[in-house]
Amino acid sequence: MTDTRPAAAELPLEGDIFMRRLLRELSGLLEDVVGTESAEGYISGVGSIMGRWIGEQYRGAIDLECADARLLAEVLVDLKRRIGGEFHIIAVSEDRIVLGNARCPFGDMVQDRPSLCMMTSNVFGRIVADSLGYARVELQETIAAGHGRCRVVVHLEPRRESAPGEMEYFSTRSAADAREPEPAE
Amino acid sequence: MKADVLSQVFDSLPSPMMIVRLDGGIERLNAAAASLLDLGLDAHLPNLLELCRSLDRGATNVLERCAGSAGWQPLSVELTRGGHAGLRVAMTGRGLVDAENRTLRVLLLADRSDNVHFEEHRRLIRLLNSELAEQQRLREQLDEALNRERQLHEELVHRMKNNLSMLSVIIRSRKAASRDPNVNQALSDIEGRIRSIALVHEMLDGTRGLEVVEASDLLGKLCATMRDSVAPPNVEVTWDLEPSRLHITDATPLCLLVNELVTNAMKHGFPQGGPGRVTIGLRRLCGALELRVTDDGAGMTSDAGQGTGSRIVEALAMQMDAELSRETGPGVHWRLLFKPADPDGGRRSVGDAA
Repeated sequence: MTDTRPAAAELPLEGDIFMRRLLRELSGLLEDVVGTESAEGYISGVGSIMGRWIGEQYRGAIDLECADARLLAEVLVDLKRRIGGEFHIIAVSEDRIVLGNARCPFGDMVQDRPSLCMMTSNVFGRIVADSLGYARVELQETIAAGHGRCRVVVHLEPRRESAPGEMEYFSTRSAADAREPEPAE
Repeated sequence: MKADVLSQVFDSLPSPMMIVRLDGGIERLNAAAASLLDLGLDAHLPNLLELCRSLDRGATNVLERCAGSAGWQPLSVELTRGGHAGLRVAMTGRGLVDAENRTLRVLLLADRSDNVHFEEHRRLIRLLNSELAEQQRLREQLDEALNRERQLHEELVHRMKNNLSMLSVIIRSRKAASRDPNVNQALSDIEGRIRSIALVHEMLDGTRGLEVVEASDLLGKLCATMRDSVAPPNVEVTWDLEPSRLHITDATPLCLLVNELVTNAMKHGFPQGGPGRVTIGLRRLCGALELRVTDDGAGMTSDAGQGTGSRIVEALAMQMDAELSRETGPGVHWRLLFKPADPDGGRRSVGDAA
């Protein structure tokens, strides 16, 4: 006899999937209504806030004041691991960090949602810029765009002009430090 | 390209644009932004945080957020000062690094379409203000014309009252000079009619240009005057009048009518000189007014009602669009039912008076 209890039904529905689906639909609606470029602006705004918050969490736990590129690369990989990504370090040098990724924290829900990649760009850019004063994030390949993996380069040296697909980040920590600390959650 | 050319480009851009420090200090703004914020280009530039609300939500400073990246980020502010106070403006902002001293600034750009809405809003407000001023001017003109008309009206009523008084004096002097009783009677009748009209104008003269009188006051004065001047000692004149506002359109014929009916009662009702009574009553009746003039005299003969007084009574009733009826024996009972004109407009309502 077939079990008719709703609780016994095998459904792809749980908290994590629900939240990822929610983000996918929100970003999709945003891209449809205001266009991809403007939607990226909104996601960037959220990414910037999230990047600042994540950076503060790490700063509270480990010393990032004198962090070098290697330590920052490890922080970026670690934070992605903690939220369900599968990033790894491809290369680290004085002027760049190159990271690869096999799984997006948003899972399959990121497909055709390029605006969500601005979350990664802003979080990486914010953390690195707040430590080194500058970052330029280049999303060379993304799962969202159908590459099957991500390849992200974080440039550490300023360039006069940024290329398409790159985004510059500047340190605002002096202004942030001047403000009252954010209340604890 | 030279810096001054770039500066001209910045200043002439149609979209409001400004460069702001992270503490909100405005370093530079173009003409469109100055117009949006209602600021003079040469004036001291206040802090943007004093001009806008919603720039800082909680501990996450929006200017700081925008400054942290070269990507354009949306923000929304509500203007708190100037001609557009209260309006919300959609903007985008991005960080800008001064190449020389590595100082971080925020470049803010207001939504062009919003700016168009502002201009339309400003145009409509200007139009509305202009129309309000025109309406105010017209109203003042109308008030002035109305005052002038009221003054003229007051003057007219006053002069009319004086002229009627003068006419009464002339008639009285002629009456005193005449020895013919028929002439005396005719002059007395005319004097009574003039007195009735004069009474209305006397009351209007005290109302500062209004065209409405209190019916009970008006008829009360008329009845008292007639009691003192027309009624013989053997006839008692009494009245019972309900208060009611009366437009001049009705007041004058009603006074004349009461004058005629009471005069007729005095003239024909008590030929033997015995005691008698004339009663005048006025009351409201379902939106209409009912006038009753009753005497307990000898009543009317069949050929009565052909005289000048009766014809005047009928003409006046017709003028008032009133229903007039008479019952005789014993005494005479007159009843006049009419729908009074609107005291505020003077127009008589069309329809059933009852």
